[in-house]
Amino acid sequence: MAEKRKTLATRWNWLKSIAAIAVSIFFFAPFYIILSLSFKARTDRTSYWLFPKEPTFDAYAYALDRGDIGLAICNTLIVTVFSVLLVLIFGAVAAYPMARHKTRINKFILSCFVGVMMVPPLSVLVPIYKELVSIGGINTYWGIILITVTYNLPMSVFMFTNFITGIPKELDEAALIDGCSQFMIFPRIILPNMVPVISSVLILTGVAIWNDYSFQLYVLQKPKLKTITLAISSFFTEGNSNMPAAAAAAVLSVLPVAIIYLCLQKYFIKGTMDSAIK
Amino acid sequence: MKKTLAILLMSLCIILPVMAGGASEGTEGGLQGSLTVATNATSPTFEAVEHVIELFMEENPGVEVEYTTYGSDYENLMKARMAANDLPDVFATHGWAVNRYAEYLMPLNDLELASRISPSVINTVTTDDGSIVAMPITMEQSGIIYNKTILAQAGWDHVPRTLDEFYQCCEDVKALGITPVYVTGKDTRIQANMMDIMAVSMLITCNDSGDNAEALYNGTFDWSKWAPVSEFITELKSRGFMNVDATTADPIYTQEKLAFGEAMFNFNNQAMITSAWELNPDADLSMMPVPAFHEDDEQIWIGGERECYGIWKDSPNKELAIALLEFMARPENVKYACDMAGMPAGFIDIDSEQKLAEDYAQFDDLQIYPYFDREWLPSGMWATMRTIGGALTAGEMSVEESCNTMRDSYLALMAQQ
Repeated sequence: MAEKRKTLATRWNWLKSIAAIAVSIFFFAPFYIILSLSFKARTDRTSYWLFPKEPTFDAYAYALDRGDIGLAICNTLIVTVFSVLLVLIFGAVAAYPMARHKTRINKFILSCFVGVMMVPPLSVLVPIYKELVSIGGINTYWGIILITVTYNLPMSVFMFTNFITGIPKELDEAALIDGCSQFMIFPRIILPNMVPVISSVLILTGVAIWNDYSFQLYVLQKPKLKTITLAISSFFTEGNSNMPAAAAAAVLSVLPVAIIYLCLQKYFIKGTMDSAIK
Repeated sequence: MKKTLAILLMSLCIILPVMAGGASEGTEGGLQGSLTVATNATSPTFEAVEHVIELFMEENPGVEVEYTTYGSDYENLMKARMAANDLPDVFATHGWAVNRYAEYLMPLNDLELASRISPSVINTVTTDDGSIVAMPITMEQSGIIYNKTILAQAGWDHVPRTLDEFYQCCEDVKALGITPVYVTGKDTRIQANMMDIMAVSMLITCNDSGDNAEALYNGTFDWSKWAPVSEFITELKSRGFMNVDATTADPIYTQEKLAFGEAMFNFNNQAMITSAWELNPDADLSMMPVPAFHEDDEQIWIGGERECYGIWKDSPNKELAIALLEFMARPENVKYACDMAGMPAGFIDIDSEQKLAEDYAQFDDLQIYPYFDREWLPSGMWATMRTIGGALTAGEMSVEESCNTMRDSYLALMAQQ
């Protein structure tokens, strides 16, 4: 009986492994296609599934030279890092009083934040663009960072507020009794407890900003300010496309994010797991 | 924690002002300053104009020109910029110099280059009050792209002259196992373009056009007459002349389908032929005039300005912008751009070496007409044409419904004017 049960368990494990491999292949397929395409010559018309017989780095050279992907990655890093930092700082600072003092006004402000999340960003493009022109924000990093932070703040405030609400108020009171000032409760007591939600917001906003296209298209019009999405789109124009160069650019642009994620994945996974348990 | 926050805030204070953009100022004699030039041009036209602009900067070391293409995003970007009255110093007008951009453009009548603009294109850049608002480097002379080798294989020694001949030619090409008409419905611009071209032949230049043109101008057009234009799409679809994936095919594949002889006809301008030659220089492609609607009608060309630049009337750098346009209009620079782009020049006395020159010469006597929507429809109808073009290809709309949709959209837009 025990032997039979063991055999069944082994078979079940095998099935699970096969399913896991099948799912992995399914998710890896697009990356394989992009990788294989990036090593093909522009005139190579073999199936995307076939790796080129004579791999070439021409597409990478083209992407780096004509597409200026290196500069685009730097620009994207600048926009993403500063935007995410500001979203985290302002979001956390705004969320704390709203979570701790549930007054009518605070509840109203929080519902306003949630309401703003429902507004499609591009529906207010023209007034925002006009405003940016009047304050000289077009073709500047601070202009795009300002817009990006504005549109990502509501979600972070919402998530931070919900998370802080779950932290017992008794912790604040204990800190006060122990001599901590009212202003230092947040940085010393609350903030260290927010690591899980900070990592969630970091991933969500970071990926969204890294992949943003619409606002960057309108705000960053100078070639030297192009971000990754704008640089890749330049390989696809009406009537002319360079798929291998676009694939090479995509590979190059995914690398920094993939490396950062692989290095820090244990923190991200721990953060999201803790956030879920909370 | 305090230290980290302090470092973060200090770095923000230092880096953000440094990151703010700013115009560079030249320090040498002569022209100095910076210019922004925007276009929707694609390769190889973009590279050709870029080279000319580089020559301008070499001649004027104190001038910095930022030349950018926004490709298919150009129109949306320019609409937002027009709304904010914040346009580039010099920008491409992509066929809309008069109807869309005229009020934002500086008249060029006083410049020497204005006297050299080709008579076949000057009307498309001249407003009702006689202001020449843009400078066409290249001009468009389009009809239908076709493959000469496949045409011969199908047993034809001349390009189809009438619509019936066109359908017969499609039948012969289909029998060879080759796609007669390549349509890329993922982006419905191609179907809109097909109707835009055919509508001129079917409603304006045919012998029984009557007062259609006048009726379209004054808003009294009977939209049931639009039926043949929509039927052109449904006919191609129902007779199997379109590629099987016509409703979903991506335009990025047009280039290679034409380059490698997998499609016979395509409704695009000369730039597509030049793009296809980038992949296969031996592709036997050419441009034929729009077939006549009836047996006794004339074939026509569709055209107007192509790579065409105007100066923003409120530009703070008008002097530089004028200098740039004058430089671009020099015969050697126009010739270079035309040769590279494979398009006819928008100026007189330019001896450009085009691959298609001989083919065009065969149809020298044919007239060039503007695109239907640019001349006879109110601004905004292009979107409607895209909608009905996509729906007709997918079989989601009848011809009658398409006529009604065109009528409703036309009346609504006319009322707004």
